[in-house]
Amino acid sequence: MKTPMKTEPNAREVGSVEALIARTKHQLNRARAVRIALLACAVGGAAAAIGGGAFLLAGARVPVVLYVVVLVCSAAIAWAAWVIERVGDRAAAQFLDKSFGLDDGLTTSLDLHHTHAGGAFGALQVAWAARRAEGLEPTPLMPKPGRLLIAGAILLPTLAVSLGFAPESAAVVAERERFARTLVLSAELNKGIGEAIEDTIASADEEELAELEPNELRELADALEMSGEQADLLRQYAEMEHELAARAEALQAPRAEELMARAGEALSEGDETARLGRMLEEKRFDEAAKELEKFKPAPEVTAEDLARRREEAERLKKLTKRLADARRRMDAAQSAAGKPSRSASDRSANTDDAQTGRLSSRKGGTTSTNDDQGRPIEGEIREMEEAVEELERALAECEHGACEQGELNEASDKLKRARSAVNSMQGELRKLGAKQRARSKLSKLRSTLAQCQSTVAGQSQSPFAGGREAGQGSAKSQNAEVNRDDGRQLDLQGIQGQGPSELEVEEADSGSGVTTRGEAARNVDYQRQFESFVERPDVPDALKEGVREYLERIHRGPADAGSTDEEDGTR
Amino acid sequence: MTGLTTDDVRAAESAAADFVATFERIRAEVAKLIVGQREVVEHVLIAIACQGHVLLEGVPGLGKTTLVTTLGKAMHLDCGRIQFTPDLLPADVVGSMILAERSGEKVLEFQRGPVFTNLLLADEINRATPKTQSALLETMQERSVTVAGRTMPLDRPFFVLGTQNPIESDGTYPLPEAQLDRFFFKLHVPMPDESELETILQRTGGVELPEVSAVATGEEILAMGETLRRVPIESGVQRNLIRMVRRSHPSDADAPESVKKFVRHGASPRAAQAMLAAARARALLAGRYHVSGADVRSVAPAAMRHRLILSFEGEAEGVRTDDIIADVLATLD
Repeated sequence: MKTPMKTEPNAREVGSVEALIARTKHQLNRARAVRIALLACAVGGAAAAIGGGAFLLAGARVPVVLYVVVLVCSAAIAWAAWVIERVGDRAAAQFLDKSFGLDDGLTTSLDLHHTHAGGAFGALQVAWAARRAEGLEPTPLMPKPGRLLIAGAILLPTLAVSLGFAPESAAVVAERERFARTLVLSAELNKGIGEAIEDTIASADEEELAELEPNELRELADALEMSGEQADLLRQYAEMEHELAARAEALQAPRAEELMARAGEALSEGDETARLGRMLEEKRFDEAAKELEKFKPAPEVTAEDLARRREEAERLKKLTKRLADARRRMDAAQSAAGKPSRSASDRSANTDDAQTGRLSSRKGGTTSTNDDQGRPIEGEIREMEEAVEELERALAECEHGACEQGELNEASDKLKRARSAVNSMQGELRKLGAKQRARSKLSKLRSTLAQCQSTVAGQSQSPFAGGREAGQGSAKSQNAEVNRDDGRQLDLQGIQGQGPSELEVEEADSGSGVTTRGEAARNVDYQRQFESFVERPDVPDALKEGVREYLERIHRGPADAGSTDEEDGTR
Repeated sequence: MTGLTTDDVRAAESAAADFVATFERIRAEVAKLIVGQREVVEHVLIAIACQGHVLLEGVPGLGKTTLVTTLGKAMHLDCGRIQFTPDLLPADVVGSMILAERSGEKVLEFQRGPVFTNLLLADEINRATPKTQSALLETMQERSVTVAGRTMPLDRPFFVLGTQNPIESDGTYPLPEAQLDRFFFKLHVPMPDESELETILQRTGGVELPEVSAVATGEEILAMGETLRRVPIESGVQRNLIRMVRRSHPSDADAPESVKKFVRHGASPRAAQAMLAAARARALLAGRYHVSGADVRSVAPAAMRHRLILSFEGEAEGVRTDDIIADVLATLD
């Protein structure tokens, strides 16, 4: 009869093997944890040091967020590595087998124990493994981190942290400050431009407003953005300036102005029309419109003032004739230059369409273009010409005839037509004047924008600095003494002929001249700069010699320099 | 391991001890006559313990035949020998039906061939025609002979120890893959070194040859095989064994480059079975009750070298299967 196998020794044997494996696993895991932690410190430290170094090379301070990110990433990667590399029972058994040369004995024992397989030979194997495991101590076999790793884990994070204390470079500070300044400046300039546009609109009369299109100007101002980047600001101000330039150009009426200039020239020749002619020549269109009032005939004619009306008609005829002559001369000149002369009637639909299309392509604002600005005036001249001819005829008939009421009425109608033609001409002149003023206002705005660009580039003060109006001046000095760069003290007493003066007299071959003391001080500065330059050790001798020779030549003057050249040539 | 009794464990321990004792007795007895060749003898004995056939390859005069006859004597087994020649017929191997007179009547009677023995030496096996070689197929795998519709079992134990000359190739017929696969091991018989040669001359140059005694029986050999099967193998070690076989195939993704380039067909499942059995034997001989990875590795070349079929490139470049097996082993943990 088979006796049951003694379980007590087996349990103890199995227990001892399992305890050894558990101990080994614990120690291996601890050793790996230490290694992973050190590795994470070293790698994280290296990453932070490299990142910090990059920031420092760029001149910036190392941001705290870099350390936070590196720390979190290192911890996460270390945790993942720990989870992946954690040693199990089998790996611990394999480690022991390999380390103590047990030929997979403990691994097999563990396997047999877990699978309850192997039968009698399995029991023998477990006992064999337990015997071999007795007295084994895994502690000395535990892998220890290398010195290099420990050093890296300490030094690299230390280095990375120390980089965090390094200050940022002056260039970066300056850049940041410049950015902030530019941002503030952009706000100030944008506001100033907006206000300038509002002022322009407020100061414009109705006719100017019709040309300026204020809503579009406001949109342009609203489209301006704040920016800390100089280039962006320069670009947007340049674009706005370009837009205003285009608008100003669209307001130009070269043909009409040329016609008026020619007309002015022609009118200047007559005694009565000379004043009007000068005004037109000088492009004082508003004044010219007022002056034209004088040439307007009275609206009614009676038998008694027929002669007076004829005089007025005669005066208007002379004016009209000169205007018509000027128009014809211009047409002839343009025909000679190759441009087909176009009458007012044939310059209608197709060209209007063309100009409308061209303008609509440029933000669709204005309604006319340069080439067509003269046409209404030409039409008005023609109208005036016709009206004056009819008036003259009507007045002549009235004079030669019985001068009945019917003829007088007709003459009155012609008078009204002539007045109306003059009124229209006045209107056109006022329109030209309004365009001129609008152009002037736009030019002023352009100038402001150009100043803004100059301000952004650091070349000038803000155009909106200070008040809008001139301040109150005072002759009273705020400072009794003024210290100068050159160390000289000025005490201006304000008593003529006494005390130090701002002026100095410089003697030259051609005579003596007066220079301000500021100029003299600048010359001293230049001299010092050149002296320090030629004494610098890092400047090549040839260059120093060149500078010295240049200055000597300046002092000697052209004649001496010429002789020196000749001497050099003979050498 | 539940339900085990101490008797069971003691019986297992005793069986293991008997295995080792029997093995060592035979080895010691063989060593009386066979000088050196320790590894060859050990592998042959392991194959015999595993009931496997062995193909010995070596030049003539290295003691292959002596080894077989010595083994037969030491194990007290009936030995037979067939000298394979091109004119040898299958009937000369397995036997044939002859007309015999029994009690005045003529009857057809089976004349047993030389395979009806325990230990068959198939000398220069590659000199016989494939037809004759294939006559051994059934005997090696089924351990039986079928003639004229009658199947006759062979005596147990039954082992074939084939020899072949690796140098001479004229008039030889390379063994077909199917037959090669039936050999448990293929062993290279090395040339003895100087001291071993001196000992050989001393032992065989005298008037009397050393006397080899029977130190084991056929039953004990069969019992050895039974013992082996009970030795446990850890799942990880077995997994490595399987990978070893799989990676000898060029189609395996993890196969080394040399396998992919020079091997046409890898080792068969019989190779895995042979390696497991042989590794168990080595474990017991090492005093262990479990198979280790080292046991598997040590027997892998002998079990796999004849089962790898080289490609044309491999043949052309003279690649050795042992080198390829070394590459396969190098890919494992």
